[in-house]
Amino acid sequence: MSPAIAIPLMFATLLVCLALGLPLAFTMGGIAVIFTALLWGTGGLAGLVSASLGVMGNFVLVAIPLFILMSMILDKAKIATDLFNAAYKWSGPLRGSLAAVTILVCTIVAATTGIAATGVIAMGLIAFPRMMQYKYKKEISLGSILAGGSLGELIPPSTVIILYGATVGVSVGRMFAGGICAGVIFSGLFIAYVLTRAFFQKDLCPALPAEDRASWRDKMLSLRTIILPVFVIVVVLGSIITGAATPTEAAAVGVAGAIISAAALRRLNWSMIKASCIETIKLSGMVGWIVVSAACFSSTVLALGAARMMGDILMAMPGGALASMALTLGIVFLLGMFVSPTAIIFICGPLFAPAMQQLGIDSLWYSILFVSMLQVAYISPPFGYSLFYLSGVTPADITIRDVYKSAWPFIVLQVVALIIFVVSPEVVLWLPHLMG
Amino acid sequence: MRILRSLLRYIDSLSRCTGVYVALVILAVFLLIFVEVIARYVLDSPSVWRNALAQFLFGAYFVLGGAYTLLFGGHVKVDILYDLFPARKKAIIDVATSVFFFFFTIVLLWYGIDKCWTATMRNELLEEAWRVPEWPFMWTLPLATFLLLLQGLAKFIRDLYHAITGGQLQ
Repeated sequence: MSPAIAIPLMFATLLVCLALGLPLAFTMGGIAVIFTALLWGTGGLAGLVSASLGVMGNFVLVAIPLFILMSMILDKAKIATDLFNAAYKWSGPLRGSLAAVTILVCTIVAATTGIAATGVIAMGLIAFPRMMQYKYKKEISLGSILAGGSLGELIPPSTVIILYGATVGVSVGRMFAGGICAGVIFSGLFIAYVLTRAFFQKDLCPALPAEDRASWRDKMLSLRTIILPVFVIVVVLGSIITGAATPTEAAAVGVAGAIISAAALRRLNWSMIKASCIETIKLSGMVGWIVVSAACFSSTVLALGAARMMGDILMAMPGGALASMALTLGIVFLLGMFVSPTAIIFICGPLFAPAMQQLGIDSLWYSILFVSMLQVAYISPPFGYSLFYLSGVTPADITIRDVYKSAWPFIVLQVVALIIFVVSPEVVLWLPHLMG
Repeated sequence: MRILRSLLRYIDSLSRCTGVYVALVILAVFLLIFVEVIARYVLDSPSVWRNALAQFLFGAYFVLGGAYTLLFGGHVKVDILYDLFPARKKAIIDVATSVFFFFFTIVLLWYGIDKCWTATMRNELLEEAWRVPEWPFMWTLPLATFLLLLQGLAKFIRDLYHAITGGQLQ
C-alpha cells in the first residue's frame, strides 16, 4: 500500500469509527496497530510500545492531572460561588451588569481550570437562576455562561494547550502566555457586547432593583473570600510567565494553593480531597489513553510522511501562506462542530503545524490561532461540548435549541477576535515575547 | 451464565478497586514535585530523584486509570450518529467496532510484555542522573493494558448478550 492510499484510508477509517461511537482512544490506537501491521509487518508494532512509554515519560504532561486536581479542589471548595457572590455585590445599577459580571467570573474561574466543563457547569448552576430571577432574557443569560465558561479551554492552565504543546513541540509556557492574551480579548469582547446590547435594548437585561444593591460595607467584606483563590491564580500563572517555574512545577504549587485556600475557607476535609482525586482519575484515565493511542496514531501517520505530503499540498495552494493557514483553520473549525477538540489536536496538529512551519508561519502564533479556533468549536452547534454541559444543568424548560440560539452572537464575536489576531499578531504575542 | 455473571462482577470490582487506589497516587506525585520546588527554589538543595520518581508514578497513574474510566463509560466519544440508534443497535455496533479495541489492547499487551521482559533481563537503568532500574515502572504499561483489556472484554460480553437476547447481563 502506498502512502497516498494509506493516509486517506486511515483518516477515513478514523472518521467512520468515530461516527459509530467508538471512543477516540481506541479508534486511534486500533487504526495505528492495523495499519502499522499492514504496512510494515508485525516488526513495526514494537515501536508503538515505545511511543506509549514515551508518553508516560513526558514531564510536561504531568501538569495535566495536577491542574485537574487543583481545579477539582477549588471547585469543591465552592470558589465559583464565592466569586460570583462577591462580583454580584459589585454589580450595581448598570443594565446588563449581571451578565457582564458572570463573564468576568467565568474568566477568573477559567484561570483555575483546564477544561470548559468546570466553568460552564458551575456558572450554569450559580449564575443562571440569578439572571432568570432578575428577568434577564434567556438568550443573553445562556450565551454569557456558554461563551464565558468555555474560556477554561483557552485561558491557562488549559489542558488543550498542554496537549498541543506536547504533541507539536511548542513551548507550553509561551502558549500559556499567548492564551492569556487571547482569553482576555475574548472575554473583553463578550462583556462589551453584552453591555452594548443592554444599553440599546431596555428589557433585554434590566438593572438590579435598588433594594437588592449591596452597601459599600458588604462590597468590601465580599472581597475577603476571594483573596486566596485569586492569589493562587496569580502565583501559578505568574510563575509560568516569568519563567520561574515549568508548567508542571506551577501545577504542583497550584494544588498546594488550592488546598490552602480550601483550608482557609474551612471547607477542607479528607472526603473532599478523596472525591477530588476520584474525579481527577476519571478524567486522567480518559486523557491518558487518548494521548497514548494518539502517540501511536501519529507515529504511524508521520512515518508515512503525511506531514510532508500535507506541506506539499498546502504549498501548491494558490493564495500563498496566509490562504493555506486560513484553510487549515477552516478545517479545524468544521471538524470542531463534530469532533472533540482533543481529537482535533491529535488529528490535525502533527499534520498542519510542520506544514505551516515549512510555509514560514510563526509556530507560536499558529498554535494560538489553532487553540483559539478550538475554543470557538467548543460552543459551536450542533455538537460543541459546552452546549450539552449547559443544557444539562439548566431547568427542563430551556431546550438545546435555546442554547444553540444563544451561542451564535458569541461565535461571531470569537471569529472577529480571530481576525484581529491574524491582522495584528502582536495582540496575542506581546506577552510571550516579553518572556524572552 | 451464573459463572459469567460473577466473572463480570469480579472484573468490575477489580477496575473499581484499582481506580480508587490509583486515584490517590496523584497526591504522591503532587507532594514529590511540590517538595522538589521548595527544595530547589527556596532551600537551594535540589534532588536528582524526586522529579524522576514523580515521573514514574505519573506514567503508571496516567494509564492505570483507563479501566476505571471504561467502567464508567468515561472515554470520550463522538455521539452524533451513534445516539440516533436504539440501545440494541448500539450494542450491535459496539460489538462490531470492538475489533479495533481488541487489536489495540492485545498488540500493546503482547509487545509491551516483550519489551518489558527484555528490559528486565538486561536490568536497564534510567538514563538520567538518577541511575535506577527503569523496568519496574515500565511494567505498569502492560499491567494497565491488561486491566483495560479485561474491562473491555466485560463490556464486549455485555454488549453481545444484549445484542443477541435484548436483555441485560448485570
